[in-house]
Amino acid sequence: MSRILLRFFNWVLLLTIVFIATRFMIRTLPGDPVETLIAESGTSIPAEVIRQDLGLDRPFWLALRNDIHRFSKGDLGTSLLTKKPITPLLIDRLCKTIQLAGFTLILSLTLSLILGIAAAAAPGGWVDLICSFYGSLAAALPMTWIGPILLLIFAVKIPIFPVGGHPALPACALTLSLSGFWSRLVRERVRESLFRGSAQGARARGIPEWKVFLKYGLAPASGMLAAYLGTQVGGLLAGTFVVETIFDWRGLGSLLIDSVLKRDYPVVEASAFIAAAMSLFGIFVGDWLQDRIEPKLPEAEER
Amino acid sequence: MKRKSAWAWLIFWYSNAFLFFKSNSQHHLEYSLNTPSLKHPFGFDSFGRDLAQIIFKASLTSSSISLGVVAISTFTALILGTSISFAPKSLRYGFFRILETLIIFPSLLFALTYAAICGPGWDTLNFALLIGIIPSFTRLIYLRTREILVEDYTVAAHSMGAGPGLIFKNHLFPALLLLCNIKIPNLFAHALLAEATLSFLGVGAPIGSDTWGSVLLQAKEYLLENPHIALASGIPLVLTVLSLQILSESNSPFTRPKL
Repeated sequence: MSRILLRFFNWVLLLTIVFIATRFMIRTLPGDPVETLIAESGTSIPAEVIRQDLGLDRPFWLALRNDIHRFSKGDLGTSLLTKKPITPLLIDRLCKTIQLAGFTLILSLTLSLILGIAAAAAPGGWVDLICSFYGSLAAALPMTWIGPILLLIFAVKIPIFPVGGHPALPACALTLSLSGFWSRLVRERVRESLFRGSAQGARARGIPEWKVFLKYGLAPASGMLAAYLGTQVGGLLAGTFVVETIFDWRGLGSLLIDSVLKRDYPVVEASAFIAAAMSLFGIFVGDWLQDRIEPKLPEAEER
Repeated sequence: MKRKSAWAWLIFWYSNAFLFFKSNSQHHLEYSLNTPSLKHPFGFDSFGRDLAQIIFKASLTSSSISLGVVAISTFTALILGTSISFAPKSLRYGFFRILETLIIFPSLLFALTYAAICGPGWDTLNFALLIGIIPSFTRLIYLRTREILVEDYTVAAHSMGAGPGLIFKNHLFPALLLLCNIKIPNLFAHALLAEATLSFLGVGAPIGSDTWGSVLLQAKEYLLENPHIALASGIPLVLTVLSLQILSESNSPFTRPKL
């Protein structure tokens, strides 16, 4: 119990650091952000007003205190360009991203578990070959290329999926890029645990083969896999961001990239913070799951 | 076999790219978006430039950026990773936490935040690629160094009076060289893909410059009517990345076929 509290405390601490860092970056990086904003977006808002909106006219700590105070009330500020509050917009976009990411997660997990276990079942067999070939190919396919190609083939030439507004095709594209490595990882881990004596013993006791794979192959590896999956939440989000831009899915990623290109700093800060919080939360959950699955794992002290 | 075809592709592609590097591209607007022909095997892009020229040049630009980034990251990671592994334990722990925090953040997020403030450009691209590579590579080299330092043969050498210089030369350096051998082609491929993503999103290479990412962006815009741009730019990128990964895998002693 104390470990989970410690992890939670760690999470909150890291979040605070990220929150401060996103506010700090705008002041420390070279160049005057306000001048670039005016030059790039061609806005007619005077520089002084923007400076005031961003809190750049005050010392860092005062602005930060103000930001934290607002954040505690659930207010993430207002957009510089549209003058609308960010929080409702962000929640709406976040829901769409979670929808896409969740769909992707289910698809990728199913595919990589099936492929990985099937490959581990017969090392050197044709499923194993397909698994390793698929793994190498998926890692070599740039999403920025395969995404549009998938769109061309499966939405235009053979209209199975709608062109926009449906998560199926983007989720498939993202699955293609994620599940390659995942299935190889599942295969490695399952094979590793099958090499232990327990699988042999189970076979000798006459336990059916599929049960051996699940109970003595997958189950011992699941703690590690859960923890790994937790670290992949950030990667999943980053992938979602790219996919959203390609497939015109109005989620957090397209919001972030749009506001980066328009230099809408408050929106960038807020959405980058939310994305960072989510990837940290993924690690938190992954670690917690690993603790639950492998309760006797000693804390790594020496690195 | 795989290794040979990987080398063959890389040599074929980059020797052609160097041949085209000197030629200057001309705009023939009347040929704009023409499909491939015998004389122009890749066709033309939307500005009426010979696509073969553009893609070869773009690939050289992308590759030189990626190579530079990989060189800098290898150097930094080697220095940081090895020197930290000799540091006292408390320092190592803190350092390791920082590294892991940097690794778990999607580097795209760093890149986007940086691009929001400094604008897209070569600096942003380099920063994004470096922050995506250095932490994980440093962590890898650090872990490998720690592993080597507690190996029996290193401890034995140390107890027989070998100084840090000798241990570095005889034990650490060969092991790290092998690691770099595996990792450098892999990182190169990773950097190429990351460049393609960032420039595609508009936060990488400045507008007007030709890189693999910007050609892919053009390919997406003209995808419906002129899929030849997508095929001509994407397939070489996939093959190059695949070849680099094959090289990386075949350099690893664990996957090399037993002689």
